[in-house]
Amino acid sequence: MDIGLMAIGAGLAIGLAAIATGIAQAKIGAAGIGALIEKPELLGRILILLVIPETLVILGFVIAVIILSVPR
Amino acid sequence: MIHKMSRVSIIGPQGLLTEVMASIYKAGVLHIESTPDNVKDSPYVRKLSLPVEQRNEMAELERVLGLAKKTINTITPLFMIKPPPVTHRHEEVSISEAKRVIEEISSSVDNLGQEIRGMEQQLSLYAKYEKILTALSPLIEMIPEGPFKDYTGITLYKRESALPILEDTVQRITGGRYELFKRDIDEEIMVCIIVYPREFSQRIKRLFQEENISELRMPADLADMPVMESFKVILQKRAALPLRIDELEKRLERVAHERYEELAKCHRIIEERLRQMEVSSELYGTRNTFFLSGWMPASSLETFIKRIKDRFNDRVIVEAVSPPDQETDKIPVLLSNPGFLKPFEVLTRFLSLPKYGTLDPTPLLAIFFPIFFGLILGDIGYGAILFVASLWTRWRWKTYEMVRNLGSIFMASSLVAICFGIIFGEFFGTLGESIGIHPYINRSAALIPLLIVSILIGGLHISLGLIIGAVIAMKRGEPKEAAARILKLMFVFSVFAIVAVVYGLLPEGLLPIMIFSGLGIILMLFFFEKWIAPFDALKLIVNVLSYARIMGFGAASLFLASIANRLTAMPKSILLGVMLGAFFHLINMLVGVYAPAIQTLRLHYVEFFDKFFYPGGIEYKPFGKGERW
Repeated sequence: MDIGLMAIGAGLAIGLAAIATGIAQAKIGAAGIGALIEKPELLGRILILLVIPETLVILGFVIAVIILSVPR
Repeated sequence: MIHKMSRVSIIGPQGLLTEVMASIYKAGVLHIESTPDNVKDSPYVRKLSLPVEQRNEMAELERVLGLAKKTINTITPLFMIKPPPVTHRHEEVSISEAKRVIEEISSSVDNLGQEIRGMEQQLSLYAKYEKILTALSPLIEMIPEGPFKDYTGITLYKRESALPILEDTVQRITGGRYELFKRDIDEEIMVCIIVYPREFSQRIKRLFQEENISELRMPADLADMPVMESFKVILQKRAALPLRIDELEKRLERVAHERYEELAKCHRIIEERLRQMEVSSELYGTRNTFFLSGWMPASSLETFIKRIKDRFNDRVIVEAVSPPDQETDKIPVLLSNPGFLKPFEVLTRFLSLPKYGTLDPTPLLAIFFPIFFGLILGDIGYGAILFVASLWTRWRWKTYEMVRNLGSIFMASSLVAICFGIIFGEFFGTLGESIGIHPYINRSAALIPLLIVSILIGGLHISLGLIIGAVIAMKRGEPKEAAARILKLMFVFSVFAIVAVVYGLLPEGLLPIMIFSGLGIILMLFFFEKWIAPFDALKLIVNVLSYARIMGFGAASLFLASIANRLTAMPKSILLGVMLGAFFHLINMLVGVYAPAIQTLRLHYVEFFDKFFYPGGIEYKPFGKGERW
């Protein structure tokens, strides 16, 4: 397969996943900071909520690695 | 582990309440629970009320406590991180002495604070005048000398263009015997001085009053001085005040450092006395008796009962009572782990305490956190720097329990990172190769095998969580929950088996069996979890795949380190190259410490704990000085 197309595919896989993660984390982060000001003891739980969308980018990264590892 | 707790009930005459409370407080082991509803509902039972003199004492103590809190809040920001923790040994200070100390320190902090604020206000006022007077001083030098002359200074907004009208009026009043000097202060305001014979003073000043034009007035303390004289004084004070403020701030800092511990101790003494009175006022009893119940570590039960019996003989009844089974979730939780596991309790508490009768995940965190962290960081150089930094942090802030514990956690984790660094042959990334460190596993060349290993680790970790979860659910008398967890465990195995068949690791004939067993498990899960079952099964797969971050973040750290090394080699100047490389390695190391810590915590909190952890445990808060726990 054309190496250029593979690179574009890998880039899209991780790039789009990263954008989606960023959008989700921005919203969770903003709401989380608001909650933290009122209840600082929620830090642990907010941290968990904040990092949940990171699974998206990790899965994107896995796909990218798999695309680039296909024998050429 | 979660310490075993025992429930205690105490009944005695109201006349002994203060003494009993003092004894319980001194023992410092009883977590007093709110009075059970069935007792409150009894017609013979009422809430105890404190006598008038004790209520007055409470009001006075609340006032002093407020004063102490205000002072502590004022001086706390003067410490670099936060003030040192205060020891609990303070029996020698009486309540009246504690009140005296708090009032003395508070008054001295308050006076210094007021003095500083006053000077800062004065400084900002003088700064305002200085601007006007700087513009005015050349004009004053131009004013002709003469004993019969008077002058008035005014400031005007340029945009209002009132000056021509004003000048016309002054000319009419004086018959042209005046002189006007003007100068801009800034883009908006101008300052004017009008000089005229003294006989017109009253009429001109009245004119300004009628036209609502404010005369330039000096600050109250300089009002009687001539303008030039007051200008000099303002300049002198402007130079002297910052030094004086600095000196006062240093004095305040000295008071904070020298007397914080004393203040905090007295604050605690007052707080404890108030707490004793508050708890007493919350108790229930009959007309002549009081009663209370609470929890304490089982290991302290015998000593506590003996202590109360020795002190009050048969006048107070204290006995251990067994709690109803359904009240397990109301039992307070005391984590009690051996010394080397203790620092990891911070990570458990960071999320929530486990409920009583479930499992304290601290020992599991102590095993897996350093391993996952080390796997992700996996670098001899970064690990060694982190080890030294953690050791130093632990030593430097040894009085701060939280910092000390985090230091211990990172020390253990960095040692594991060094071990994995040796396996991966990484020393500041790819620099290891050039100095002769050979990898046993080359991370940059083995991304797919490492990805598979990461996912396998995830499968095993989650399976362990499900097994623990099933055992706890059985212990808590939740057989359905236990069965669901066993089914989920079987589902994880069947998915792994399907993948193994696809990659030829298991005979092909097993594929249909595994697919049908996977689907069968989801169908059986319907029985326990209804419509959520397929989503839960999907979540399990995502949970396992989430462990790919071990490989992902590890590889990212390696690639960033190699970029730093390449940048070092790029510039022609060796010094510039070394500086560039050091800078990028520093950035990578900071990211390399933060990211593995957060990702490892996330794997535990989200993926692992979800399978067995029951959050929401009530923290064990003994009523007392807290010396034992």
